[in-house]
Amino acid sequence: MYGLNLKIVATGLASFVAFTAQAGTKLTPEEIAAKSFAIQKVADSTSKSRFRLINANGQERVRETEGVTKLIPGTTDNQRLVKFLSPADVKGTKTLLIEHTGKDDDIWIYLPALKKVRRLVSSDKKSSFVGTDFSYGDVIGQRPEEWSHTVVGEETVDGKKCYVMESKPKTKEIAENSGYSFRKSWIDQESFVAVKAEFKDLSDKPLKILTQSKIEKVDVKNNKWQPMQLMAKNLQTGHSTVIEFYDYKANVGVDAKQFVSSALEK
Amino acid sequence: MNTSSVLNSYKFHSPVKWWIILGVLLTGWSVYAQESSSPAPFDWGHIASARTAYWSRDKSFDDRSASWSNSFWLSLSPETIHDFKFKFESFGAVNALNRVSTGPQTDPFVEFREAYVERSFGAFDIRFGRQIIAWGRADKVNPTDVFGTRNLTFLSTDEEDQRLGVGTLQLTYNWDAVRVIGIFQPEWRFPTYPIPPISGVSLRDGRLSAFQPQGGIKLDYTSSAFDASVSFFNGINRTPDLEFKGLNGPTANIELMYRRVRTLGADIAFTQGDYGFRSELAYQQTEKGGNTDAFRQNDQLYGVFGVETTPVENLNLNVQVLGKHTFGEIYSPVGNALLVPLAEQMRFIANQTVRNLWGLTFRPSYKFWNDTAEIETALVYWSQPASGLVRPKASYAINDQLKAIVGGEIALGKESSFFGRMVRNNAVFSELRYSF
Repeated sequence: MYGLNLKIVATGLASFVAFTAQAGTKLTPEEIAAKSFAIQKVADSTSKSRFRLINANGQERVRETEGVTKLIPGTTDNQRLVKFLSPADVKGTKTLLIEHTGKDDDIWIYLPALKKVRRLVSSDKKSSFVGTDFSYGDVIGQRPEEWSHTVVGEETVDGKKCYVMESKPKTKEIAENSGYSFRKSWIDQESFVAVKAEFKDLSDKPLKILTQSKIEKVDVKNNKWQPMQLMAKNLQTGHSTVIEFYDYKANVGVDAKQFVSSALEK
Repeated sequence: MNTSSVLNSYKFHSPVKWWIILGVLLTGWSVYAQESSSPAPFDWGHIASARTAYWSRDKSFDDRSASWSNSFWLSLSPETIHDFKFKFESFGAVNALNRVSTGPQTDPFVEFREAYVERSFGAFDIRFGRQIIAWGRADKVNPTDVFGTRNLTFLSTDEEDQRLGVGTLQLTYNWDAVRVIGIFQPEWRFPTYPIPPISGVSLRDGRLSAFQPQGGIKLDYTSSAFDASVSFFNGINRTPDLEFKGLNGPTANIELMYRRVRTLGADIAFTQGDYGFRSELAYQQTEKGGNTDAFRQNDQLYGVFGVETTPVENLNLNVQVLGKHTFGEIYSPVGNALLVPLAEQMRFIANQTVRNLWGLTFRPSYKFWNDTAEIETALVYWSQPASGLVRPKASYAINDQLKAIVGGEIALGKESSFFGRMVRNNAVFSELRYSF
């Protein structure tokens, strides 16, 4: 009996030691960046979103979209189909973006006035995403392996304990492509979502602040999270954009046939 | 062909009848959908706009032809009903014209651009009804756009709005990255061109019934590496020949004859780093064969090669080289001296003035203020004889509904050149567009 109790205690102690060792394992900056990059990549999703574009004078314009995403099997590359619902002059416009690790992404656009699909140049990630203060790179995510990361501390933002990480593009080409020379991000230690990020432009001047809030766990099984509200503020123009997601659903079995350019015409 | 004959082709009685029929059908669908499904309001997928535009010249080669054009546009893409998709697009316009030849007048007309139904059956898609088919991956100049029918005299600040829908049956087979598209187009609609008046000549459309079976097939491929297609068309040439129909006193009666052609086409688009490439090539075989009729178009090979890039954020540059090789006799003898200027017009209409012709397009565009403002200039140049067309345009979205557009359409070149003939129609325009 005594021997059995000792065995239980020993096993319990071992488990405790193992647990505390795991909890205390410090993630490297690269691992944090990689987890943050992958944390929103669900197998597929459907959602609607409302873009509020607010200029320095407070005038507001609203664009509404619906979107579907689907990961290319066996990769972290996403396929994104976005359809504009309003305002009327862009309603019916559709974009299809297919990411490719290690080479240029594919982008097609369908403009109802043209009645046909056009392939667009995609190497430029710094361009504004449909007139918002988010760049294409912000929307699809900067690839973590293309940046050097350093954890410079820990801070609490909106009640969330965060890693504070500074990142720099590894090459001049990556910097020019992204439009950024520096990024400081606050990454939530629970969800690994970057709740805040500050960016500097290529002249090393403060350019943009991005915040992500209303973070929800959208895939419990695979530990995936999604911020339902994003805001980007351009510090140089005073213009800002708020994106709100609603009717967000993950892992609903999105049909892969939607992600071909010819489907944009339908 | 004068503009009044153009307007006559858009008489009210027939379109109004179709408006009513379509209205009843659409209302029926709405009621049916609401009764048979969820209580959510039926989504018509509507886009509407009211536009008022001023043109300092219309396209009638009249020296005093300032025009106000007011139009209402409606597009409906209702939600799918039992897997059927519907599309309807139409506009009604009232042009207030003031010409030297006719004085002040008002010309109302209605155009049904699209009214079709679409359904998928496994890998097959079928689309039936009046529709706009736009082929070709090049930028705005598309030698393979064989089904494209346009009213080029329509006063529109956006040239894509000049496209006309035509009754068509389209069958598509989807097989992964490949699509096979078959088109049967039984309806014939006359395109409309701005053709300058010729002294002593009466010009009108030739007789051609509304039923003209035409067909085409396209093999379309899309992949990450490139998009491409090859196509074949057997139908009516959208560019007319001229035919002398005799004299009426001192006036020569000439008809615009739309004859059959066969066109073999191909296009490709791909990107490489910061550049996008688009190319298109079409060989067009006419009915002219070996004869030397100066009023018939020759066979031709027409190609476009273009590149686009974005050197700085929001600035897009698009440059294309155009090339055309004309086969056969270009300067065929004309027996009647009266018809010599007409033969020259024929060469200009077909743009077959020399054996090898080259041209250029250049289209810079710049968006700013978070895409609320855009300036763009489209330039087309043809050599031998040199002529060009410049179309600068600026637009600003005052808010989410209201947009202001200003611009111009300026032809350059001698009167005896492709674009030089249009100099009398040079105009500036402005438009206020309310979309909802």
